[in-house]
Amino acid sequence: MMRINRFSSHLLYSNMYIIENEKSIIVIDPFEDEDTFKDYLDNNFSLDYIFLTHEHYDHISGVNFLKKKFETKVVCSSTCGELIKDPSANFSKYFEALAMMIPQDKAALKVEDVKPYATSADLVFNKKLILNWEGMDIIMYETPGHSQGSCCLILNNDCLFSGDSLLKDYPVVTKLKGGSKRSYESISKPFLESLPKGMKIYPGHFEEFEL
Amino acid sequence: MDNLKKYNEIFMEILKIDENQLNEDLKIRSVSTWDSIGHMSLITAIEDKFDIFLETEDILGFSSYIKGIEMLKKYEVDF
Repeated sequence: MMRINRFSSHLLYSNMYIIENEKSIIVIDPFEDEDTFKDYLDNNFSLDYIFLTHEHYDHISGVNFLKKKFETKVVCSSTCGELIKDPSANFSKYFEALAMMIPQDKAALKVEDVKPYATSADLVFNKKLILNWEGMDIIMYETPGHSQGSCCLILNNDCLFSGDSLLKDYPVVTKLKGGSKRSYESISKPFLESLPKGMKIYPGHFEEFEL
Repeated sequence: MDNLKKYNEIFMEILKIDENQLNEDLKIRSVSTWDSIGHMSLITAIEDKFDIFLETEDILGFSSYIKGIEMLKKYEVDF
């Protein structure tokens, strides 16, 4: 039986999702969480895929950590795959400055120690990718706008992992470097509006909700 | 385009402010648009437009319109 677990990170409270089925897991937007992953290792789970919804550091910070612990494949859009290699493009270089802007949260954010970070993907796609995992379809769609490399992931036709392309009660940010309101309006918004009412949304920040 | 004009245009475009607001009073959070997103956008735009790669300590010291000019002078940008 499939189970979806959400973990909120210390980096701008981004969400990491770990989806379990039998002895297999997939992870979406990982951050380092030693205890959680130790349990999976100790119980002989395989980490089949790591999926990235986009290239920003708060959504990729755990990739290298997990690659050291598991034999796995990192999947994202081809643009994301290029940008995660660059600490400027993935914003890790700027995270300390961001902490300065959010002083009330500085302790919780723990971003003072963030160093320029780079990682890499193993499987990339343009526009759309279909995979099968544990008998379930995983479909990834490019959804540029928040960033150039943004995408969404539909699991088993009824769950959407939206990254920062769709949040509950917050407008999508398109003003950062690499963002494009025009791309969001012309590509991503029509895609999101085409999704069925009642679909469960698992966003990149904040809580789950239904369309 | 001279460097001051280029620098000013970055601020006016990203922070959505007028030229008369570009003065010593313009600091982080002094206008609503200089929030965390505005700050990130200013830093990345400055790097792009002046074709420089800012060091972390300079990024952390960039807290006002005036300090940004001082920061750029370290990178041999003349004003």
